[in-house]
Amino acid sequence: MKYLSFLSGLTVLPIGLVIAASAQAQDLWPTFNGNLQAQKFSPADQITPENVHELEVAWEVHTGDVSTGANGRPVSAWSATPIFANDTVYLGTPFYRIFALAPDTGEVKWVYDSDALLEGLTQNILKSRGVAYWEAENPADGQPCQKRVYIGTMDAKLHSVDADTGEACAEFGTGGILDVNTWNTTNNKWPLSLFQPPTVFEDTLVLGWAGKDWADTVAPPGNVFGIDARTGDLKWTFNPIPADMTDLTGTANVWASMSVDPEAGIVYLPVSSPSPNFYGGDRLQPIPLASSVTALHIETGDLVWSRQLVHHDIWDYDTNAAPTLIDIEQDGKTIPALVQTSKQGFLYVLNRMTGEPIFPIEERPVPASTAQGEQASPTQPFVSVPEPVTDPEWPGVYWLADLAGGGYCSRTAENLVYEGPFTPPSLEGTIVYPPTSGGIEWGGGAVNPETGTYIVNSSNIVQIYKLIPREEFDKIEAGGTEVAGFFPMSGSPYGFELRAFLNPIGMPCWNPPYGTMSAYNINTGELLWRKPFGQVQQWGFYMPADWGSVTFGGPLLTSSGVIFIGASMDRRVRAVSEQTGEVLWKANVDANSVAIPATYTYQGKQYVVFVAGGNSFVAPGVSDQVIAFALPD
Amino acid sequence: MNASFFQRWSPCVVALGAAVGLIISIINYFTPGNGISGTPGALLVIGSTLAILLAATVIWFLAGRLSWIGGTLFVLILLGILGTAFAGYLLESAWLPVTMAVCLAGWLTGLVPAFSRATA
Repeated sequence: MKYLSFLSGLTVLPIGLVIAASAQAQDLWPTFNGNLQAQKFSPADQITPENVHELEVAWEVHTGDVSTGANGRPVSAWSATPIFANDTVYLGTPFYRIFALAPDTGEVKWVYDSDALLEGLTQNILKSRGVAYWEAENPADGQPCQKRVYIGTMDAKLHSVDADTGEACAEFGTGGILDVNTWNTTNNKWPLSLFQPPTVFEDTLVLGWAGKDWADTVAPPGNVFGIDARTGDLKWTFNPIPADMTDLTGTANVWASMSVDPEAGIVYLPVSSPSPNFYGGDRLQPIPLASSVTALHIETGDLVWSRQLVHHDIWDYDTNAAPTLIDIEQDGKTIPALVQTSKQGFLYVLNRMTGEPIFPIEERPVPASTAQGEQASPTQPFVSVPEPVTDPEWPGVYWLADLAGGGYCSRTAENLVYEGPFTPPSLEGTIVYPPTSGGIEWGGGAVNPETGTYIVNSSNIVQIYKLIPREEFDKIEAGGTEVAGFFPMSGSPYGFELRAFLNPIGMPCWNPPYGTMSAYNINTGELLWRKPFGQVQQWGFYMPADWGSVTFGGPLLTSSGVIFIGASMDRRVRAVSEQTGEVLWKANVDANSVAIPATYTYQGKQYVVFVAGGNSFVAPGVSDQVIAFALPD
Repeated sequence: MNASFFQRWSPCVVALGAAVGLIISIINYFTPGNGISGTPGALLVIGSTLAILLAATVIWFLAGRLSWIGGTLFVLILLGILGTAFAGYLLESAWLPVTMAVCLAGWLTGLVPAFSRATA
């Protein structure tokens, strides 16, 4: 479903582009995705496919902000993109502190402590995707806070800090702290957790948030806030849930990063699914903005257009990454486009001014639900070009896993429901491929705007979705105690069990590869290459390279044709050839680099920086390591 | 060189390879940032190289006495060598399979007395 309501009102903003928009020219890395267009592209060309093998550690920092889950404190998960601006590398940690580092030595310039509550208020994990950077277009001489860094906390506080000194900016909110939860007025069941830093354009911060997934039927609606970057005043609120449905549902929030077309003044939101995530029988009315990519005018929050990517979402197919903005060349014409990745493995290539597809999107019939009360959508949108990152059918039982599990995999598969893509959750248990874990996760893709080569890493995961009647579920969670893998969806007739399809010794039951990297010519939609990426590491043992790895985190791409990426389940970071997909270099780090790396050039030298913080969802082991690589002098 | 020479030196070569393998495994386990530090796999090869070392030492002390114990340990050592080499390969610890190759060479020399008796 598509909405177009504001295009005629667009104005080309005359104001000079902010620092993020001109990042490429200055070889900075001032935003979560490298630039506002979420291209994750750098013009840096000092490190090439020919010399990348010479990379060595330039500097390394340990922040001390790491938790193994001991002492009652939740385990940490660190997915911050290092930000390079103002001749400084800025990092937000999972303890919600900001580190300002010298870009050439890693020397700590200052540290800001938000004194955030380190408790699992919404998610039982201490999570951060870092910080955002802003600077005044016309800085006032001698005044503080003309350049700022922002960090959010799990308890819904947004902090504004002077980028030069690390002091709080008093004019922002109250003493430099904005309590976003004061705007959490509908279905206020938990705080609006600010794991993802805001998107910054000119003097506006666009702020989404994360919540407590899979817990409730009725939850806070996924309001997105436009905020004055200087004062913290609320400029606008965008609500994706119809007003007459807030008693039935909630969320459809924007928990991932966003992108901005600076010339059009449009912000693009990846909007997640409504609650409860796996049963929609109590929210049968259309929620057209849920599970969508949505364009808003950044100054007003007015809707420009929206395209729903999953109808009546009952798979938790959140749109989960900032769309990548790129101008596509077709038949001698330049088309302003975006590429929206998805958990369901499709790449939606749309005209970013109108939301109209550039490559066809086809509505195809999909299986009906067998759960009482549920009415699955009869059709769903499918994309054939570019070729999806996952196969249309689930990979089937892997003989080795079946053998190692004494036939468990094949026996289990026989008793599960699977009727192809978009098979609804069932009481018997449904094979879902790709599932809520992706497909493509929040790291999204990278594009070389000069060549139109689009790079994306993806996972081939099979999960089992099972609805459990309320009475039976209440026995499982007797006394309200949470049981791993079980989620209450309180207020609906069903609880829910979600688990990966593993054999008894923890081996995936489905055929490898478990993860790949793909390269496309985004002008034509042609798949250039696809290769298994990363390695599964179990108990320290590396599994065969052609199995690939599940990945969380994204790539970056340089103009010299080198892809840098962590993301895999092994504790390694890699450089990959844009041309061939061949791994050119790899290095060990302390934990999984479940993040997007950054690259920048400082005093004539190119650096590549990875955060290796780990995420227990991907693999055991956490760390507080920031590590920079560069060529020898 | 007669058969007793091989009987005497075989466990020494095995023990030498296992000792070096043990040192490498301990370093692997405690060196941060090598990709396998602190992992159960790295711990496992510490245990297996230590077991090979101890078994080779026992065989050396037995010096042909209590042949059923020596024979059993001799077979177990082979399994340990092969298993540790495979584990080292999966851990991508390049030197560990090399040390197990040394152990295997020592183990094979231990077969010489048996061949000698068979061909006498």
